[in-house]
Amino acid sequence: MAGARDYDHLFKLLIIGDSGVGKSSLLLRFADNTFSENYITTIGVDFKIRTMDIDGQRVKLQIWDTAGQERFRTITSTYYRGTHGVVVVYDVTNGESFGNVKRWLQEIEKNCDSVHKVLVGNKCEDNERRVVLESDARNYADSMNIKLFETSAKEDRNVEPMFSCITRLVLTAKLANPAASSPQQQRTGGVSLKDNGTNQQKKKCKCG
Amino acid sequence: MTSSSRFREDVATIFDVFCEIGSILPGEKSGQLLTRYPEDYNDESILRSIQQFAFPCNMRSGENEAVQLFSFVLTDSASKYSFGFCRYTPRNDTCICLLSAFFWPNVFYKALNEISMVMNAGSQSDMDTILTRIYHTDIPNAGDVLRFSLPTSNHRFEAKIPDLTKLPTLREDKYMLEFYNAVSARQLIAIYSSMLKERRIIFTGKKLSQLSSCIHACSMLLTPMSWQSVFIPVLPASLDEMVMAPMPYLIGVPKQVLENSKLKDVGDIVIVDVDEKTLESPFDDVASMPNEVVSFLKSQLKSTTDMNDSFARIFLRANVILFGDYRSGFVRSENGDTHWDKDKFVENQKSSFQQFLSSLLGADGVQYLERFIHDRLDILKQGAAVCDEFELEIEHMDLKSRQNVNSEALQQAMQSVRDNASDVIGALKDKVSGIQLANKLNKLTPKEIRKAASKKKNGNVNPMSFDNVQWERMRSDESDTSPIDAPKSSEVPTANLIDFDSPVPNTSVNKWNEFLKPTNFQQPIPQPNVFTDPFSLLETPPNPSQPASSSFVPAQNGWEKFE
Repeated sequence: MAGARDYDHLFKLLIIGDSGVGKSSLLLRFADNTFSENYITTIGVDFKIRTMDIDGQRVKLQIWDTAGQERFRTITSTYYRGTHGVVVVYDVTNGESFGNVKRWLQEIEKNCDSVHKVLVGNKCEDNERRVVLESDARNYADSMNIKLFETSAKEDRNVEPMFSCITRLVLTAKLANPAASSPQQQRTGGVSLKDNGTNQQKKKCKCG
Repeated sequence: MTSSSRFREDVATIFDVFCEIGSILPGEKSGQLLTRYPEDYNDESILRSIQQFAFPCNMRSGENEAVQLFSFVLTDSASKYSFGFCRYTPRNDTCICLLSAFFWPNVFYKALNEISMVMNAGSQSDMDTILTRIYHTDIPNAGDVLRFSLPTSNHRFEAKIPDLTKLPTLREDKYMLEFYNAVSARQLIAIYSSMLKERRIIFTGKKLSQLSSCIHACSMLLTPMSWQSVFIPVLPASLDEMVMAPMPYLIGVPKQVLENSKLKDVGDIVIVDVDEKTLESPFDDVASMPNEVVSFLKSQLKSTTDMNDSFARIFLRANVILFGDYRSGFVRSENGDTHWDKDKFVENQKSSFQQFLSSLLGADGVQYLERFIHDRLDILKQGAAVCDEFELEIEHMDLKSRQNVNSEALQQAMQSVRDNASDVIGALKDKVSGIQLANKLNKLTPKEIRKAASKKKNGNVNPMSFDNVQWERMRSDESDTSPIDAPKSSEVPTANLIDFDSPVPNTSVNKWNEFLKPTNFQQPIPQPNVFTDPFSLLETPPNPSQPASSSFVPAQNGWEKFE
């Protein structure tokens, strides 16, 4: 780990969605380290890495996934605290997965509005079994003011543009306001610290 | 077991697999698989994980030559746990491990000790015998004693299956004891406050046993809620990058692993070093906790702890102080649907708690609480009752505050009678109607009465008095606005969101009332007593088998004393 950094920016993204919507497949399509073992079934958490070049800036992406998200009615805001962006995935052939996504997005909207997000309808190659219409999803995405991508991890459709989009969103925000777009800042905003905030933000308490 | 529980279900055997793992060979990332039982166990990914986690790093250190008992946790795709109980022998540089769905540390550590003796002294067939016996034993219930006679000696293996619905004791729970010994009281409060905030928390230390114990014990501080996010009591060196995870976690990182990974790109985390006895945190979570809770913890942790469950109970009580009134958030909408209203719950709490609770339920939203509420709501909807340590403690603490208030009220009443003899008759009349109405009051739960008290308090009337509250409640009852007994109450205009503190007249709701009033608490009105601090009683833990009953007398007696 010694030596110069091989990137200009490191962003941590989350991918959320029910099991079976194709999160792993999307990551496999996109990631550099596709031959690494998958630890999601070992420790319940895993990530994939990809380095991208966006407008001459080297961006390293870590995309994190966790097991068993579907057991949560809402994914609460601590989950998003350390992240720059969220990729929210549903399966166009599974209406329930779309319903869950809506509920989760509402929670993000309500409590973590500074997290960037993109909505992804996966398995769009399977038109015969489709139950979530693109127009419905598009209307919903517009109403939430987020971008929608219909992707097919299986046929590698639209995966790259989707990840580029969320990366660009995060990067643009960071370049515009370097302090505000770091997850740490979101954290302090969320805790709603009292007046002596500057003191508390970096206070190291050594106990014992 | 409720759905927020992360225990596996449908388990067929006491353990899944037994393995002996040899040290990590140069150039490899995990230990060698030397033996396994059952021999035909063939879940390759589990076996690989065991090799990785039972030998999380190079363990021979030279300075620490004692046998180590530690445990790791594997999390499956549904986020359910399997527990790996390990016994590392420095002399052989090998580790034996039992992987199980059951969280019975003492049972498995004891079994591992026996197995290790057989491995050293006996033959392969002796080994097979003991493993076969354990493997093919029917799954015992909590409180049962597992018994085997051992092939190599005359003595018998005996281990009691722990009752996980009880609080862990320092005497019996290795994890709690090691945790208790590893961290100071100040650190405990800081750790608890950061757990409540669902921080990313790392424990580090050289001894794997201490490390894994701390992580397990730490998660128990949230009882009856459970940690919902990433949980890795021992992180193998090969997975050290996982500390970069952005979501809440509780991870035990062996010192050797932490030193090598240098915590690159981790962001803001809480680190507890159990060797150096330090805690570093970029957050001041203790300051954001309500003062009452902090001073409660301080005073409780200062007093000497016995070897029973009083250590665990301190945190259970802190959780009761913070969340014990969760039922006040249940509302039933007009269509009969029941939900939990965060704002209603927060409004009902003391003002000094509101900001903290509101944040935990909103901007700083924590998953353990969301899950807990969701599960309790499900149980309510099924018409079932919960009677766990938490609910018992809620009743216990409720009764204490009433006890305190009521004794004052009684003294005042007695005093006024003495002071003004001409009022005696009038006072008695009041008491007579009081006795009649007491029958109705008997149908209120302590919770309901306290709720009425807090309403009154919010209205800036007198300091809370149990006595006043009762009368006020009775008056409103007479004027038919409060539906204590009256079936027509649901027609009251305010009933568009039916408050569960008020009984509602249909059968499904009667079940709710049963829930709100656990059957083992028969509406006792407390005996007058001398407690002035609502928490003063907490110094003496109650006997869980006799929940609070001994210190209280039946309701009528309380009223009779007026006469």
